[in-house]
Amino acid sequence: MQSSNTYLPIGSRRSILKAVASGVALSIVPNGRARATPDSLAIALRETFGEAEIRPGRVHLEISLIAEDGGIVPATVRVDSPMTEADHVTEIHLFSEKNPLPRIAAFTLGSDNGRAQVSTRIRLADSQRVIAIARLNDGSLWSDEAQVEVSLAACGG
Amino acid sequence: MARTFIRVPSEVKRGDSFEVKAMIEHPNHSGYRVDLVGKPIPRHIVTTFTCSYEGREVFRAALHPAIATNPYLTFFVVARDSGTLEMTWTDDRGEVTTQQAAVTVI
Repeated sequence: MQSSNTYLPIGSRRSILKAVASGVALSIVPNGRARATPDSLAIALRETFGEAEIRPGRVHLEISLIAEDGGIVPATVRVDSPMTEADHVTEIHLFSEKNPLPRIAAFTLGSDNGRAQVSTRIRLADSQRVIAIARLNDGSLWSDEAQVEVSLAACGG
Repeated sequence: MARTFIRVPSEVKRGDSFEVKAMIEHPNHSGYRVDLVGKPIPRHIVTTFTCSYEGREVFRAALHPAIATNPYLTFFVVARDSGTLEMTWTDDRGEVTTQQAAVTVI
């Protein structure tokens, strides 16, 4: 089932399908308020990183490309870094393109971690891009992203 | 206090990086769902997680509503000395849950 971005009132195709699929009557609130746009992602990125250049590379986002249940999608971010005093990752950020809020999580790391790798389980309200961005101690920003197709949307994020 | 589950290796070689797995039982209501009669379920999420190793903070997470129910995190920590890891979860209602785990460095 491919979710659409179109605004649909209560009792929408999506909530009906979800209720049918899950047998549970908890439905998504398909209102305009709870729908982020790529614009809100751009705003969140600017708030967090300013105008600094974000380059693709060094970051590896491991996430299933087809998520059966958008309510629980395992995600791992790994960054190529020696994680020494002199050269380490200071932050790892996860962003979503179409969740109600673009921010998913922000992790603070350092040389005490030894390995720049974090995992969690996220919610995806729709098929969308997920973006991982790492900040290094030299201030540089690196990213990776994945397009995740969600079969059963979460009303999560 | 919410139930928590932590997994760390019982023994680690000094200087090695070991994996910490931490989960807390928490509804983590996103605030975007409605109940059976259509009433919105208020947001109730874990917003902050920290891990200290012998009193020194080594990992921190700022969490938003897009984290799944029963927030689960894994990360790595360098084994310096035998001691205690203290995990702290704080939710948006001000509830604080802490849990400790002992690590033996060999």
